[in-house]
Amino acid sequence: MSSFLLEIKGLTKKYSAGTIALSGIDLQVKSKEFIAVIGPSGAGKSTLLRCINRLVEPSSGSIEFAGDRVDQANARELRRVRSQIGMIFQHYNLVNRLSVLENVLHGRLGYMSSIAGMFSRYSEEDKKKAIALLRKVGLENEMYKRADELSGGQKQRVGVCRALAQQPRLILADEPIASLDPKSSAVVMDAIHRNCAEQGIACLVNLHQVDVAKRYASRIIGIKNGKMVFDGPPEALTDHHAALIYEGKESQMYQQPVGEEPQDRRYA
Amino acid sequence: MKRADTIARQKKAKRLLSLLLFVAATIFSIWFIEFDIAEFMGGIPLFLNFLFVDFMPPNVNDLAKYVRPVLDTLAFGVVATVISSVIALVIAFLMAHNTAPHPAVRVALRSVVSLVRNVPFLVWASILVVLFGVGTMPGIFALILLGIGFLARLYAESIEEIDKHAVEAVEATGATYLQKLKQAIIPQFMPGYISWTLFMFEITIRASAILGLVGAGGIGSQIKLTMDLFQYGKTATVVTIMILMILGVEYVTQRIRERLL
Amino acid sequence: MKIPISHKATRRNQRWFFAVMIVLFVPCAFYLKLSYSQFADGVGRIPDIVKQFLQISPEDLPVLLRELLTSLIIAFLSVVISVFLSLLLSFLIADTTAPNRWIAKGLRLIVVIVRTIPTTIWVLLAVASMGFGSMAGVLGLLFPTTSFLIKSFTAQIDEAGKEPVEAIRALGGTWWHVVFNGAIPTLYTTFLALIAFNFEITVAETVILGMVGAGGIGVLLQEYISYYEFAPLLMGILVVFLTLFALELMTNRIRKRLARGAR
Repeated sequence: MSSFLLEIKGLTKKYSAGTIALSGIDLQVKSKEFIAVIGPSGAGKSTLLRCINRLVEPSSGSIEFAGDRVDQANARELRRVRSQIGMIFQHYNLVNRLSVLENVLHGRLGYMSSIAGMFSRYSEEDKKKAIALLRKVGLENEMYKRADELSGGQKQRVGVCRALAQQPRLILADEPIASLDPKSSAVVMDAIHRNCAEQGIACLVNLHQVDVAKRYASRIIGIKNGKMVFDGPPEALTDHHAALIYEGKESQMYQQPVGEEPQDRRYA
Repeated sequence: MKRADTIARQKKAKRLLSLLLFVAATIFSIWFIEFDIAEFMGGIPLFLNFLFVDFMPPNVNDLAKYVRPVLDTLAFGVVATVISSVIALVIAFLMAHNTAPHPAVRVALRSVVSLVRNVPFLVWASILVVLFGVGTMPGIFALILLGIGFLARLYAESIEEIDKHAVEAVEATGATYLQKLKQAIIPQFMPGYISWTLFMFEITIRASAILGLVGAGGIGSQIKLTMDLFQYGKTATVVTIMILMILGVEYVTQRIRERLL
Repeated sequence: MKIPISHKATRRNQRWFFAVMIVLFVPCAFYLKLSYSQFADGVGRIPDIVKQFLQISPEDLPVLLRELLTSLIIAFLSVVISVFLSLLLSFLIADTTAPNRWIAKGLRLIVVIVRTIPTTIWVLLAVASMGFGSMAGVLGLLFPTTSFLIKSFTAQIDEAGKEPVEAIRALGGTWWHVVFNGAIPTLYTTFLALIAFNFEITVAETVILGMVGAGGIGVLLQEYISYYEFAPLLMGILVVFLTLFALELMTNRIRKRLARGAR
């Protein structure tokens, strides 16, 4: 039993097509850490996050979360681990035809029996907490709207609330602001950062903007070609390091990469 | 220059070849089924004459007699649509590749559904008439089979088209398979379900024309009956009723679609 | 009081749909008076029939294949004739190429009526007029096939837009020039895909319509059924199934190529 919240050793992911997305990643995360994972698109950031809650099956290596071996967990154990890990996605991934409130309450499914969750039998307390979360991000007037009626920035705030509704110990945020304008980006990053700090949630957030990473993170990890090439406090990340991480893809450092295909290559 | 010439010549030769093949196929066809062009051409005016003289004017004496077949047909449609939509729904979830519990189940169901769909409806109806005797029962079962073959495939395609990223997000919260199904997949699949189910209802009305031919009830049997008795005036009336039914049902389902989706 | 969570309009619409389904289903099911004993008798007969089915033999295969070819030919000829008819009529109907608005409107109405009448009825009428045989099949199929093609063709012509047509008109071209030099070359591949798709539907229908006397493999199937000859019937069903399945695969590929071309 380690003293870390999350401990990853020798994590490797090979896709069936033969591309190696991750090779031998070692990473320890303490509770309450706010870690930014930076790197160019295609470096393996998404795969790393998705291996932690096994939305992507790792090829080898060990992942230990709060004393549980995630990589060896059976279906039931995996669901328990997942219920304690919130996730935020680049494309929000809301269920469009459900209400905002229902989408937030999806965060509670992992704590309910299969049948109760199927029929949306959420407790009144859960509902009140979900509404409180929505109020906190300024969406209390939108909670009965359908998710597809919201703007991108609003949708991502719902995504943040869904992750927080899980009362997780760790939040994985996969490019949470890559599809948003600068103003919405600030609102969303603030919401993630403030809530994690208040509730003592550790956070791993994939970003490609170095400036944003430096502003929020307590620690920065740089990933390039599936290998970890930087690990240290934001002050230690010099322009020289950043240039090395983004070598050949410098244009992605400060803005959203142009021409990135959102569908197929997102997880590569 | 020369290369462009060769390409053009090749293209020309290719076109000529396909034209020759087409002509050969046509000639073979005409020879094989002893298709008499003169008789066929002569048959067309006779056919139009048959349509516009023998069928006119429509004989409306028996209008009251047709009420029951019309109601039968509509009831057929409702019962068959509801039952087949329930069965097809279960099959579709088991055979769509993003919800199938096991690949073997998916492949097995896909072949069964393909068999049901690709054996002509009239063959099913005839076999069912042999099984259950003349009456409404074989008609209902034939329509249900038609519906399963048709809906299971379309439902499965709709399920496969839904946004898989929202499903992934729900999975990431620790949801079980059933929760994922009910909370993420079904809400997104509802528009497809409603739309195809309504479409199925339209199809059952058209299919009842075929059902009547094998003695499986509905408005189609009136068409067969009146034609067998050479009462073409009455046939005209029944066909008109049928057209009105088809158009009426199409209108209603279209309105429902507009309101719901 | 419980806190509601769902989107009201969406939930109301869905509940309404299912409620109507149930409200209609129950009385309809009673109205049809399905008798359980009839059902039980029928189910009881299944093992016997399955046993007869399983004595499947390839004895009738040559005849079946010959009649299958007849079916395919009936479909082929009716599609060929329909293509010529509908090419001509489509350009008279489509908004961008119609020479006269009122003729176009009238033709459009006729096409709608022809399309509404099920194929079965057309073939039944053709058989009644021409007598049993392949020619009645071709004649009967002509109506639904042509109306299907006209509808698809006109939609494509209208979608292609006005520019090519106006360009030729501006050069002083006649209506025939517009059709043969402007529209047909640009829409060539789309039309071919539509024709292939239509051929699949028509083959499926020919098999059925043989059963009402329009020639082809359906005639054989109908005979097997009426004489309770289940062994060759299963052979026939298999032949039909494989043919339709192969055709479906082919048209699926064509449709995919068409979708790619459209993008």
